[in-house]
Amino acid sequence: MDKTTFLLAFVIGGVGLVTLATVLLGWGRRVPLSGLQEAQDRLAIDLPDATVTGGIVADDGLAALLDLDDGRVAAVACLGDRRWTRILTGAGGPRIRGVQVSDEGLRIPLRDPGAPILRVALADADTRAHWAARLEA
Amino acid sequence: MEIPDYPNISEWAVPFYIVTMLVELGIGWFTGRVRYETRDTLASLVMGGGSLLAGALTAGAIGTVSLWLYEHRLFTFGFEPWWIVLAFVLDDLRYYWVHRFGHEIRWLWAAHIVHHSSQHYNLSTALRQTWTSFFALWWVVRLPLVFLGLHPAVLAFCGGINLVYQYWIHTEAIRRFPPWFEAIMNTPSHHRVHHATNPRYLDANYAGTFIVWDRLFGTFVPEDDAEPCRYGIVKSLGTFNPLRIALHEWVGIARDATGLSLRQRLGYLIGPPGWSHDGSRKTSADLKREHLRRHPEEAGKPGRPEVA
Repeated sequence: MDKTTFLLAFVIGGVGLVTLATVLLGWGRRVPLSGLQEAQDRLAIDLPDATVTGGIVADDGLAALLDLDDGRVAAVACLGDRRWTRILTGAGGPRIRGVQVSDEGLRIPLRDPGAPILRVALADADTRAHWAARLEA
Repeated sequence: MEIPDYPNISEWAVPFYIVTMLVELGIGWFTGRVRYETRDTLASLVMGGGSLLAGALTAGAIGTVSLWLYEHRLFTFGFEPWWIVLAFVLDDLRYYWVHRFGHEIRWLWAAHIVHHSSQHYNLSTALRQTWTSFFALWWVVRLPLVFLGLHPAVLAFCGGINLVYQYWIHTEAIRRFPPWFEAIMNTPSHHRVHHATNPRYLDANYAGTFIVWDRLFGTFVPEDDAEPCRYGIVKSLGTFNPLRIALHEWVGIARDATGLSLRQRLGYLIGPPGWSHDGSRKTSADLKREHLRRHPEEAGKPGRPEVA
């Protein structure tokens, strides 16, 4: 086995071993939001001047949509055991590419190369329709 | 003059990386002080592998330019140990500045943002490296040392040692070293600050091996146990996709710089991250000022501007 092949095998084996270890330790599970308050607290870190007036946490806890007092809608979403936030509507041009509604909830493609898709699981049809309308307004 | 056959430190370090990550995972499991996440880790390791590959593909071009410049050098330094030590110190100073530029100039940041894009801080984060440093021209900043007279092979060797040194400081498993060590060397504590997005910690601690450069050039901010680090980038990623991790900032630059005046385009290319032609975004300095406006009692402390 030449040096390059050995190194390649070591890299691939090492990546597999470390990744497997994280799975075995239970660190592969998504950690959903504990509730609306956590979503608000997380948004306050990124947007300390924003005031949340209402919102909803997705049925699976993996995202939340938040109404701000200036009329904008913000999102807090889960990425593994961490969260990311984005403003979805308001000043600065369109930030979403439309809203796709299905029985499971909302699928929101974003104009953002670092966060291309936001999924919000909402089983209730009225709730889905309300938020789809808010986002497309 | 015979050129020594220096080992490729980055390749030799691969077994060390794997073993130490497994040890850190164990420490995390037993103490709760370290946290890994499967897909975040996998993304970091894929980025690291891709970076190795990108480095191998571009090494020839960089080597050719460097060797050509070395032929026109000002002085000739040898390969004796004391010249290696000098080269290491100068290369570390070079690293401080290119790293600082990498945070203050968006074109360079577009490559370096990859390394900061995880919200975790563990040894796998150290390996989350860019694929586009050649394109971003990070390597150009080493050329003055070649022109000065340091052989490219010596600088590559020193750079390899520097990178391996920086690997082990990406951990929360180690809190602090004795004060004398923290005063001279870059440590996990100093580098945690560098990876943090808390306003007071932004744009601080650029050092590679010696933290003295930050102390010298006014960018040193000590870790404050009362303010735990929040890791990642100001606008957190919403994906583990390696291609998006590698390229999202470049796509952002291309979108931002389209349909504007030349001056505005240049602002997006070489201005600081967060600069915008209409003032709709925030740079690190803006975030620090806004933080200070909300917390005027913190004025004058390390990492905060003097006035709001």
